[in-house]
Amino acid sequence: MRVSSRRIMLALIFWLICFLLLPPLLTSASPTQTHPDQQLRLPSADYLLGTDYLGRDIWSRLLYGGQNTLLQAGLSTFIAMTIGSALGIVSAISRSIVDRLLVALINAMLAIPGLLLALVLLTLLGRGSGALIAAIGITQIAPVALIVRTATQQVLLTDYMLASYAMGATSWHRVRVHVLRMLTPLLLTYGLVVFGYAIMNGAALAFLGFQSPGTADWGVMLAEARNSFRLTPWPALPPGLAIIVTMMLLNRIVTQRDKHTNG
Amino acid sequence: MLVARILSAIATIWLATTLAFVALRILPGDPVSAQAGEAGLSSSQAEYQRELLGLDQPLATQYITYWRGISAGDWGTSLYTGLPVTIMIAQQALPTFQLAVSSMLVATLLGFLLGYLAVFGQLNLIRHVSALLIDLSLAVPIYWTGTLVVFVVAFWVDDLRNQLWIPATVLGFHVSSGLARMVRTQLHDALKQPYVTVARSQGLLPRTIRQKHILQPILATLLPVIVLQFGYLLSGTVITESIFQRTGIGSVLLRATLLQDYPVVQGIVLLMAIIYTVLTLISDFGVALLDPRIRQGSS
Amino acid sequence: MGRRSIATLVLVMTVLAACSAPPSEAPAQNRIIYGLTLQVSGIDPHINQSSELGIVLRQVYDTLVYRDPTTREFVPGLAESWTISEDGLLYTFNLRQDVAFHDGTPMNAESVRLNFDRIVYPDTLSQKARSLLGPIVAYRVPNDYTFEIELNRPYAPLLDGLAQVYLGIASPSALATVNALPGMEEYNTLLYQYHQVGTGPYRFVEYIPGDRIVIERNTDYTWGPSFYTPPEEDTIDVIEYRFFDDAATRSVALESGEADIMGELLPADGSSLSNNAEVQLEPVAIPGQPLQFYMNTTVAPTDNLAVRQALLYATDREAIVESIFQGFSPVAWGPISASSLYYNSGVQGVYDYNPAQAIALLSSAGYADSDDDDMLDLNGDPLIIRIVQPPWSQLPEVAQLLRDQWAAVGIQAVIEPVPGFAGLMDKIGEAEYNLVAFSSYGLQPSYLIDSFMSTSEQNWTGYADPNLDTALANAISTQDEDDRSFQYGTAQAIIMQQALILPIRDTVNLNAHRSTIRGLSFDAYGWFPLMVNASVVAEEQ
Repeated sequence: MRVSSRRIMLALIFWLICFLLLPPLLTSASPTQTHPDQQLRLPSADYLLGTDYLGRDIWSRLLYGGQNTLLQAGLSTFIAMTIGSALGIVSAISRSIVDRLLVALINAMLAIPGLLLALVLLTLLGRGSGALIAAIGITQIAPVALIVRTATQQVLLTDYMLASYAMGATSWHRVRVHVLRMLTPLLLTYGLVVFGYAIMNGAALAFLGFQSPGTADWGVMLAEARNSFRLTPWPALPPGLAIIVTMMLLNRIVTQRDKHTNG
Repeated sequence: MLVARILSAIATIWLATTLAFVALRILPGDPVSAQAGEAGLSSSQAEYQRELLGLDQPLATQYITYWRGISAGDWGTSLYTGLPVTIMIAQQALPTFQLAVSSMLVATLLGFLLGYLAVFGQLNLIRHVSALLIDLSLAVPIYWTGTLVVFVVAFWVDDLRNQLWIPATVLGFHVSSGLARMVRTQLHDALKQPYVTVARSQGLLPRTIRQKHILQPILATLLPVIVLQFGYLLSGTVITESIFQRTGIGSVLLRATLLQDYPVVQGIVLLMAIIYTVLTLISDFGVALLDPRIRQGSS
Repeated sequence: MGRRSIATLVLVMTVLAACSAPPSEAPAQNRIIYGLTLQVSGIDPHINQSSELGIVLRQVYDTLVYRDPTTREFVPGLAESWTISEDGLLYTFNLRQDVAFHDGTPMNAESVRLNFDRIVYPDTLSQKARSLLGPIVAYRVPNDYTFEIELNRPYAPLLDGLAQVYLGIASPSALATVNALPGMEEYNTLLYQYHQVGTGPYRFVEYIPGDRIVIERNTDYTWGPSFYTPPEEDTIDVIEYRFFDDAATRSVALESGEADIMGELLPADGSSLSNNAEVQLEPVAIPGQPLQFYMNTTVAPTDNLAVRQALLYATDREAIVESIFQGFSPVAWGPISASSLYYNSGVQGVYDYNPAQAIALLSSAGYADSDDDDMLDLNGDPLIIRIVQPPWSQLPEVAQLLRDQWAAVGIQAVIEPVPGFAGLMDKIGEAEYNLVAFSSYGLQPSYLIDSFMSTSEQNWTGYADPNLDTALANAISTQDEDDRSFQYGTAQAIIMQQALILPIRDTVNLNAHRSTIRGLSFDAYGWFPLMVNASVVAEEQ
């Protein structure tokens, strides 16, 4: 049952590459081209995973949908991680007033549950990929900042830092380099967590109608599959399974990394 | 200590609401132009509406008016229904409350059960199935499970909308993951503790060891986890209500977002901030009461 | 712990299931659930304009006149008779004397006057009711049961407006209690919708936004129009309207008994429901504009007639209707649906699917594929059509099919989805669209004036043509029915000659109901059911 974390990591990387880079190699069909006379076909040689209610090729939509979904989640994660860690580190190493203000701000953002905060932001941002990336990214800033702040405080208390303080040899530059080096494993692990959230929330919001209709996107595919669910539930299966596999891989890695870092 | 904690909770609520207030007003365009389009109002009619809502006032004035209203129990008026936001929330609070509480019950029980079985399950199969369910509850999108349930269960169960237990089970299952993982980790850790080894060597029955020395100590540490899960659960109610076509705060918020009904969005932000902050407060004090070390340290 | 918590879990689930079971109803009352499809923004008939509100309120209000659903002729309502002066400027209504509002107030000419006061008052911000009154200049109450309307020019659609629920007559005392009448100190337009009082066959019980609207049978009702024929027994006593905005689960709700009647089912579900003995399909053709796109004649490339015509020829409407609407609605050929009054059947078959013709027209206009990308261009500019696409009426699917059909002849479509009417108005304000989808409904096509008269604010085609303006103006001012028919026919012909719209399909509301519901029929306007004529029988086991 136990699989080494390196193997799972490799599996995840392979999985991500399949969707991010390989779609043009794996299919020649367009993910958006409709075929009104080929609706709801089951898998066949022509359509590897069948077609949906507009006769679009599900295999192609799955691949390009993965590209969109994962890229979008990656960008949200980037926003959350950069802004979040910057706020967290600044808060941890600044004097009490700035720290207090930042903590208050972080707490205020945390007081509204994730998906609801994203909804509030979407009231302002409207719809489409850009709005979703921003809303989901911003939503995760506060949790990232909080975790990075705590971790930074711990790093600053380590013997090494205390020693360099004592020797008077500490420069800003050194603090930065050292803190960042110590934080890297945590940031990587937590980045994967945020990435998972971003996939789930992005697909959820796409499902709720905040993505342009017809886009190749796993959440949109799931939402559209409902339109033909009574005739055939088949089109709901591939995007659902794709999300599940991605999340399983991510969660497995996070759990194992946690074990390594904690003991 | 207590007073400071409550003051900071109030500050958090104030800040969250203020952020929402500012954010909702600095955007280009205003609620009335959105509404005017929806309702087919002419520009002079829109101007009149804007005046009625006080949107022609400077931001600071609006802000003061807003808080003066809040302190008098007036949370604003929906741009679409014309009803006070407080009434809209009150009308829809019960179904969401029922859903949230019953899902939380399911989640807590399932979380303990799965976490426990994943460690102490008597058969290998039970342990593996529990572990798989824990993984799935985190990895499967709730709208996927929900969709399957809506279409499949409808064949056997009449009047799906009025069956609280179905959405509660779906939502509860997805929320249970956090607790289940926590229980599992804690149990694993507890097994390695010296006092368990000592107890074992003293010949105590496994059942007694589990209850006295393993389960009871971890209960206190799980309270904050349960509260944390509540935020996740509130997010889940939006999707659950949408999929099961239930009424409630979640669907009010979703609709307000789609229609850009700012006063309603703002009212729900305030409500969420209050609920979440109060729950955190309760859990903090609860932990302090349960854990003697913290209790002593704080006094 | 394991076994015990399973037991607890089962216990909790049982309790939850018990708590959530619906409370048992008194057996004497026949209660049904009617599924509405759209979350309405308001249900005040004098203020709001949705079709959804009429589905409910047609049962709550009476109008001065009615249209018989079968003959489509005007028949007496609250007015037992009426006269129109020779010049078409003065309408005199003689009101019934035996009518009472649900709150007990007797109905008379003064009640009607107060309703008109409210509708025409500018601060009421009426979205539809006011415009139905057309060029009204005055209204009077010569005696207790006579009501006069004076126009400043002949306006034939007036009676048609007075027959619609948006001009339903409300109780003045109810309007006064919520300060909804002009001149009241704390004038409030939004509250009346929660306390509505009419004279109709059902009385209003409650409205909780986003949740439900409840009405109950008015047992004192005896003054209905001739086609109100309540059943002897099994009448429907209470109707609870609920919202089902998720189209995908509407048919599930119907099958599982969550709803007894439901509108706007997904066409795909319609075909599968036809095999279910417990559920009956009730498709109703809706008179009015078809599902259509306005083409903007003021922006390139749709400012060119050849391009507009090419778009029509390049569109395979048959394929769209077959695949998206599952054959449930007829292909639309012109600016009004075949079930409308004054329909000009001459538009049929014009612009039948003909990609070769489309290509010929485009190359005559100078378009060619000069850069070998399979897409046409003119002077280096590719031929791009910008489509504004709202989310309703399966338009997202229609737009995607259009895009692919047009790509086959070298036209590139850019779809710009908008979340709702507000977004649509924004796009129209930007004035960069080529096509925009929108439809209005009505039995007689006076809505064409709003859409195509050169001076109209809602002329989204931007087309200005004196011939079209004259035909439309004459159609509503003439007193002669044959002339009106001719004028509307001319207008339809010009609109299609100039290719001002791309019609897709005539609207059909795909209703369905459980087979326990009997005698469900709809009024002349198509959207609105006549619940007073329906009955409900016990579920057969």
